[in-house]
Order: sequence, then structure tokens, then C-alpha cells
Amino acid sequence: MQRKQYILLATLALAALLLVDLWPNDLSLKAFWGSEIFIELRLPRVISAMIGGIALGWSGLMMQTLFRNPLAGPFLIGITPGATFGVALTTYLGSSLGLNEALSHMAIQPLAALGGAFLVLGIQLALHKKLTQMHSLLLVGLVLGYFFGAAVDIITQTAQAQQVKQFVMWGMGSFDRVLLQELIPLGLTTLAGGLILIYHKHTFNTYLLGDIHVESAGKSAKSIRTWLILGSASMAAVVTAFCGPISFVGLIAPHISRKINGSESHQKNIFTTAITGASLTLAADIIANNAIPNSTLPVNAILSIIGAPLVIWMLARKP
Amino acid sequence: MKRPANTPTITAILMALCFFVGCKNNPNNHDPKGVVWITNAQAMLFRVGYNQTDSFLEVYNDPKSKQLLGAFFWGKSSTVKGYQKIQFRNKIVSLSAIHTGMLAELGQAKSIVGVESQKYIAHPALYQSSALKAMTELAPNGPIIPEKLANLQPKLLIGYVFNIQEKNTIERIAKNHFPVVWANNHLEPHPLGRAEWIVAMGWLLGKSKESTALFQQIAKEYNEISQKAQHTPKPTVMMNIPYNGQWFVPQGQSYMTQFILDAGGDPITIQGEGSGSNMVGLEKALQAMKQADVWINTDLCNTQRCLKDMEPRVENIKALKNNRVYHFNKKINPNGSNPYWDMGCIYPNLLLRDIYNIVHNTPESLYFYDLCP
Repeated sequence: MQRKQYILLATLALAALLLVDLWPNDLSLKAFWGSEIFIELRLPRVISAMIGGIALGWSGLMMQTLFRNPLAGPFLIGITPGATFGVALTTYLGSSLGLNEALSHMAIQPLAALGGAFLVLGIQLALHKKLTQMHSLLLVGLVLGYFFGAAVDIITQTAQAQQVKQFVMWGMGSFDRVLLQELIPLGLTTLAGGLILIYHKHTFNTYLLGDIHVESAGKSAKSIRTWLILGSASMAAVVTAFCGPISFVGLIAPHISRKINGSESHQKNIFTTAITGASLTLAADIIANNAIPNSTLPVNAILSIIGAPLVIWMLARKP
Repeated sequence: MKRPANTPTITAILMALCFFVGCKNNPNNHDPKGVVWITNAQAMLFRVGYNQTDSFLEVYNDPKSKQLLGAFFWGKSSTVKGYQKIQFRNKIVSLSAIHTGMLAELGQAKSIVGVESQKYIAHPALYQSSALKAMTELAPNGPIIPEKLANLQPKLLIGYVFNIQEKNTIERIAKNHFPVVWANNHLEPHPLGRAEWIVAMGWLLGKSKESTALFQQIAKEYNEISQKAQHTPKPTVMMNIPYNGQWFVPQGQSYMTQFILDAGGDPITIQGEGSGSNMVGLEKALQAMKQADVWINTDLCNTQRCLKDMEPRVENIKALKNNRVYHFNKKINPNGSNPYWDMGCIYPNLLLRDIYNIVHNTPESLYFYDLCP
């Protein structure tokens, strides 16, 4: 099959998933699409799933470029553990300072997650100018991940049962909690990340060949890294803040995209990574909400269950 | 040609296996001689019995498997096959705030030397008392600290099975030193079943008469309210709050659902079967709950503002519009401990009376609950 046919098929699959996810369960089509349930609940959920998938896919693409390593993702450079730490800390403060009511405000958790994620981002940005080896930066991310993971363990150990429940629920990842107005920061950050990708696509291709190639093209490798860190971490941080830690998409969407295109080129992979990322999150959202009639499954679990065999199949398959 | 299967051998192996498994699950294949077991009103996970010389307590794992977790006796006999003798009733470790509350209700708080954590104990007779301060905290922030338990050298431990590792750790420390009674009253499906465990606690303390009388009084009041509620209209009642877009909706046979049914309400459950709860996405949950007449158990939120801040899309729920939202934090202590959890379990009659008054819109004298302003 030709590349264009693959892309057409992927786009159609995305459209179909979007339609299925928006389709009413009990009400008639006419009654549902004008209803409060559709506008207030279904639409924000489905759109956030789609934007979240695009953002995480692009974030993964940029991180894999930054580290020139196909294993990179938001978990690996410490963004997700940082965001998790922010949420756990706020939950703990709510419990120990008697501020449960004040800290139960819906905006607090995303702000706490953003705070934690940007703390890690700040450390990474400050260090990347001093560290000449890319694997050092990767190690810093891993070490930060362990550090924040340990801090979260200590916090959850001392928190009260209800706070732990709140925190665990956040960790499962969900598009249900996103409000209509929250789609704006989510969408704008994704757009900004997309613009960075589009604007620097040729330089990112050169960067994949090594720092020396970037420098010989008259550009600064450090400045490219700053853009890559800023773009990828911001998108991952915002998605984590609003939807909780969503795993696997950032790791596998760029891989599937490269398989479709048969190329590492960013100009080819920007669009297909977006389609793949959105399709994965929409599929997970559909399964999470429909697999068991009277329950909703955690999106993160669904993504890992879909993602793990997909990655193994892709790796085992002949090129 | 295939050899025919050796049917008698296979049957014998299967029978031996069944016998082995059966014996392991229930070591007391034969009741003690002449024992008369008392029929419980609701509790399914323990039984008390008597014969001419001794009295007996058996505790079970959960209502489904009813696997024997322990068998105890006290009395004239020095040994009874399959039963462990309870010799001492002082130096007790109680790992559940509910069991601790029950022991306090029976006037034995001073016999308790160790608890899981002081911060969970809200019983009015214990909270901020010198007796509580004297108790050693064995698991103040998480799992039990084995050295602390061993150093305490208790004579009896009353616990509940939370995870198998902790159970094994405690049993390893207890071996040959002190008996461990696993009191899984939290798995009893009916509120009166949970409260009836005070009879088992009374047996352990040698106060069977007092504990049985106390439980009978609780059950009488509970059943009176429940009977009164059967002839009233049935308002719909929703429970709990959403966390990050997910709502834990109790199932049809859960503990809280039973309270609402007994209070004459119509509980909103998404799945009729089961005694747990379902994690349901906000869309499904709000569709089911939008027309609820009453909303109870708002967890951490004591105000309507808090509920709307936590999830703005709840504002169209009928109960919220009509100011019929109730939290259970009325008696919460400054350290966060809440008598709703322990006293509510010991005295389900008080909890039922509150829910009855809330459901039937006569909330003048609530004990555990309060209106969310």
C-alpha cells in the first residue's frame, strides 16, 4: 500500500472513532446533540481525548528527537513524575492543614500538576546547557523520576484515606473531568507545540544526524534543544495537568507514524503522529466507557493494554 | 494404542485432594462435644457457641467463601481440638478504630495497649483521653511496624484482614505468644451485621451478657425505624462525590444502599447486584443522578460551593437545586477523625435515624449528618 493510502486510511479511522465516541448511548441523535449532556459532558471528554492524543504524540515525537532515542517519552524525562508530585503535595497539604475544602477546587489539581511539571522542566532547561552528553540529560530525567516517585510514596503514606483516593483517581487518567473552558489552554498549548514542530521541522531533521550537522548548518544545537524541551514538556505537562498521567501515547504514536511513512522526516511525521495519537486516545476512551456496561474503566489501563502488544507486534514485524 | 486412564487411581487422588483442601479450609470438621451455636441476627462472619464446660468463637473470612479464619475457646477445658484458648483479656492490641470503639463501649478501653493509629479513633470516650494517649501506635503512617508489635508483647490481638502480607507478618510475630482474632466485620453486608460484632467482642472480654443486651437494644431501634419507613413515599437518594471525572456509585447490595432502603429511600445504584461500588464516568453518573431528591455522603465537601468547585457540572442536580445535600462531617474532630466511621458502625440505629430524617425531609436533630449550606 502507498503512503498516501495509509494516511487516508488512518484519517478515516480517526473520523470513525470520533463519530463512535460522540454517538449517543441511550437518547436519539436529535435529542442528544442539543442536550446539556452532549455539550457539558460528552463534547469536552471527546475533544480533550483527541487534543490530548495529538499533544502527547507530538510531545513524544519531540522527545525522541531531543534524545535521538526511540524510547523517550514524558515519563522518561521526569515530566509525569513531577506533575504527580505536584498533585500529591497539594493533596497532602489539604489534609494536614485542614484545607480540604479550599483545595478541592477543580482548578487546584491542574495548577499543582503544572507546577510540578514545570519544576522538572526548569531543572532540565537549567542543566541541559551544562551537560554536553544527551544521555546525561536522560539520566537526570530518570533520577528526577525516582526522586519525585519516592516523595510521592512518602506523601501517600502519610495522607488520609480520602486524599489517597482522590490522588489515586487522578493517577488513573481520565478525560471525563475536563471542562469545556479547559479545552482552551489545552488546545492553545497543543497549537503552540505544533507550531514549534512545523517551524523547526527541517532543523529537527538535521538535529537527528548529530550536533555537528546542526552547527555546520549555522544553527545552535543548544537552542534547538531548548525548543524541543520547551515544546515537548509544555504539551505533556498540560495534558497531565488536565487529564492525569496518560501513558504510552507519547511513546508509540511516533513509532506508528514512522512505520506508516517509512521515514524519520518530521515534515512527514507531524500529521501522521497527530492522527495516530488522537486515534489511540479516542479508541481508549471508547473502550473505557463502553467495555463494561455499568462501569468506566481507567483510560491509562486501556492504553497500556492496547499499547503493549502493539509495540511488541511492531517490533517483531519484518520491516 | 492409547492406554486407558486409570480411573480408580485418579478418583482416589481427586478425593484425597478434596479432603486435603476441605480440611485446610475448615480445620474444625467436628464441632466440640455438645456445643450449641447461637444464631446471629445478621452477622455472617462469626459464631458463638457454648457447651457445659466451655464457650467458643469461630471467625470467618468473607460472606462468599466463609473460610474459617480462627477458632477460639475459654472455659474449664485446658485444650479443645481445633480451638485456641483465650487465657488473658488484658494487654489487647486492637487494629481497627471500630473494634477499639466496641471495646470502649464495653468499658475495656484500659485493657488496650496498642492501636493502629490514634488519629483514626474518634469514639467520644476515647478521643483526647489519657487512655488513648497511653496506647502505642503500631502503624501510625501505613503498614504495621513489626518490631513495635513484638516489643509490646500483647496478650491478645484483634485485627482485620487488609492485606495478606500484613496478616502473615502479624501471625508470624504472634506464633506461640498470643492469639490473633481476625474480625472482618467490615465485610458484613448488613449494617446490623457489622454492629453485631460487639457480641463477638463481648465474648472475647467475658462480657457476653452486656454486649448481647447492647446489641439487642441497637437492633430493636434499628428495626423500628426500618418498619416505620416501609409505609412512606420513597424519595430517590444519591451518594458520594466525583473524583477527577469518576464517581464511585454503590451497588445494589452495598452497606450504604441497605441503610437507604431501610430508611425508606430509593437508592440510585447503577448496578443492582454486588456489595461494592462501580467506578462510573461523569456522563453516565450524572444521567442517573440528575433527578435525585436527596444527596448524601459528600465526603470532604461540607458546602455546596465546595461541590461545585470540585465539579461544576453537578449544579443541575435536583437535590442541589432544592438544598437537600448532606455531609457526614458534623462531629468531625480537629485531627480529622470522624465518629461517623466508628460510632456509625457500632450504632447503626443512630445512623439510620439520621438517614430516615434526611430522606423524609425532617432533618431537625441530626447526629452524624448536617446540611451542606
